[in-house]
Amino acid sequence: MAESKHFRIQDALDVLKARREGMQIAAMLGFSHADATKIAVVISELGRNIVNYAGTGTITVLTREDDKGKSVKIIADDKGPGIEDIDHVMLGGNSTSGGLGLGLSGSKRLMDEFHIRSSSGSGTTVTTTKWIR
Amino acid sequence: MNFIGIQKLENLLLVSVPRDLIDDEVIRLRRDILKAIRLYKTQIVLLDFSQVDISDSFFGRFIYSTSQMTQLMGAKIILSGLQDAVIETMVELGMTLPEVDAVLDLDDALELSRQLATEQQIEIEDGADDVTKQGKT
Amino acid sequence: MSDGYETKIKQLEAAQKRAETIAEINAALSLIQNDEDILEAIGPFVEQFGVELYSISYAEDIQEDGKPGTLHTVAIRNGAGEKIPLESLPQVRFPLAQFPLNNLAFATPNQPLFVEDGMTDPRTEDGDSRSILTALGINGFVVLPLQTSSIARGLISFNWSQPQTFPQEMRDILTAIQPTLAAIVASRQAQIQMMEKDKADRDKLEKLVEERTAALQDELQRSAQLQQEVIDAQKQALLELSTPIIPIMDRIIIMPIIGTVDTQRARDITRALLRGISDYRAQIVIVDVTGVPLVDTNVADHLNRTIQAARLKGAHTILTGISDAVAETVVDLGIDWSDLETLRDMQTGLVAALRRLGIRMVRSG
Repeated sequence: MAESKHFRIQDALDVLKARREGMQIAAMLGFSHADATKIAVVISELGRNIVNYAGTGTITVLTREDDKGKSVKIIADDKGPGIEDIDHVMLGGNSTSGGLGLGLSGSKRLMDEFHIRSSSGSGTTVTTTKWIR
Repeated sequence: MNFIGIQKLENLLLVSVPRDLIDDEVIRLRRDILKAIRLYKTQIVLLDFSQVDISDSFFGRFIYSTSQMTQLMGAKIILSGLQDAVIETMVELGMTLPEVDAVLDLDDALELSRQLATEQQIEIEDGADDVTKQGKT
Repeated sequence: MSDGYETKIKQLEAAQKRAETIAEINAALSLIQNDEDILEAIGPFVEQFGVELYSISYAEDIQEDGKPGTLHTVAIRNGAGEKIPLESLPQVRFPLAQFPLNNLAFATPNQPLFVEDGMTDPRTEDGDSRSILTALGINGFVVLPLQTSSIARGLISFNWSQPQTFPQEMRDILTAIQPTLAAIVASRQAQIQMMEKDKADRDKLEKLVEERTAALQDELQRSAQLQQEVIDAQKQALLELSTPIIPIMDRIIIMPIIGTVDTQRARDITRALLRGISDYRAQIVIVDVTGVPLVDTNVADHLNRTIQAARLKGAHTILTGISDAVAETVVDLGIDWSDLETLRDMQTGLVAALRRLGIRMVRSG
């Protein structure tokens, strides 16, 4: 039974709310505590990117079930400036001094599927999914 | 002076990091920590993360920047109370904070700070010996 | 001659009529299902004679001589055949002593006791019989004692408020049906006894079944719980076997890793290690990889992450069991383990751990 929750992201408090509710949705679907935490972190990263770079956007959390099992899909969308060189950003690296890179590359590592569509001037959409193991 | 979430314990500063940090709260907390270090001449700031269950890169940056700032003031940061799920995520994110030490709990932190105090005492005493040896007046 | 003949015919007719009445009553008695039905069977007959009250009682507290100690009214009707509710009676159990006339009836249990005028009949002379009759508003009465095998079963009584003249027909028929009534009541009592015994048995059985079912359900629940516990324990044991944590001394634990280390296993290992660190308050973890056949970049990566995780929990890791082959691979692959404390084997690792904790082991003697 698919479920979806839509969050409007305009400030840091919105991000906190989205990540906490996202964590609950994942936990209730059956994700382990550790994995639900990871989903929360990803929502947090994507949400912060929206607030810091686009100012406003949306995050949608969907629960689904397919032949691979139950999953949570996160769609982070904004109409901000976009990313010019995605590959470069995604190679962001392990530095703790952060920036856009750590957020996106880290998120990719925490999830099973990760797609990002972005270009300069036309906003960014990140779609990422994690399945219950 | 009263700091919210900051407590002086022996020569430690015990900081309870709140669950969900947002930007201005973070700035205020960091500022309070630095003020407290100056006030109490603290050498060890123990950041207790038992309340924190979500650790994104912002969280990592907070620890890193606080660590750098406290080092500039002659003190150091020690992490404690990190939840297992938080540690797992941090490590998977590559956020391992190599320059920051961690202890299991408050007891170990106190032991560490006492050790440090003893070592420093010895250093001072050694230094004093050297000075008298050189026959300074 | 014709007189005798007519009398004979009249007698025959009367006899036939009596026989028919008895047959009717018997037929009705054969269908009875309860005490009311007994009165229903004989009611129409006795109501013909203006009976005002008739009832049936069961004998209780049977004495040694077979006589009843108490009589218990079980059904009572008025002259119109209407049931009188037992609740409206002041008393339904009568010790025989209270009613000497009933006693009298049982003195001759094989025939009815006909008393046409209770106030003048010589049999009511002694005791309080007459005052009792007056108090009850009874004058003429008939008592049918019911007895089989020398044991009193009950009695049926018919009461009138005025003195009576009981026609021969009534006398004959009541006398004729008395044994049948006695037999029926005896059989009913036996049935009731059996039913009650049955019921008591059934109740006992039901209760037993209930108790056994409840006990069984409890057992099932417990066994299901136990099964689940066994399954959980097995899962845990399996997990532990594959990621054993061995506490050595105060604050030192050893974790031997055996087998291949893939991503999922690495996660399990990390989780088990973190739990072990808090369980045993470990400050030093000796991770032994002697049992890991292949150490490539991935495995090295996983191990790194495990070590970093332990560090964030305040524990220092010593890696032991690096074989020559593994050492070669690690360097060849450009994996940088220089900041890691790596030692040859567990024993060396243990010594290093103790030294780190400030404990020196000295051989005595």
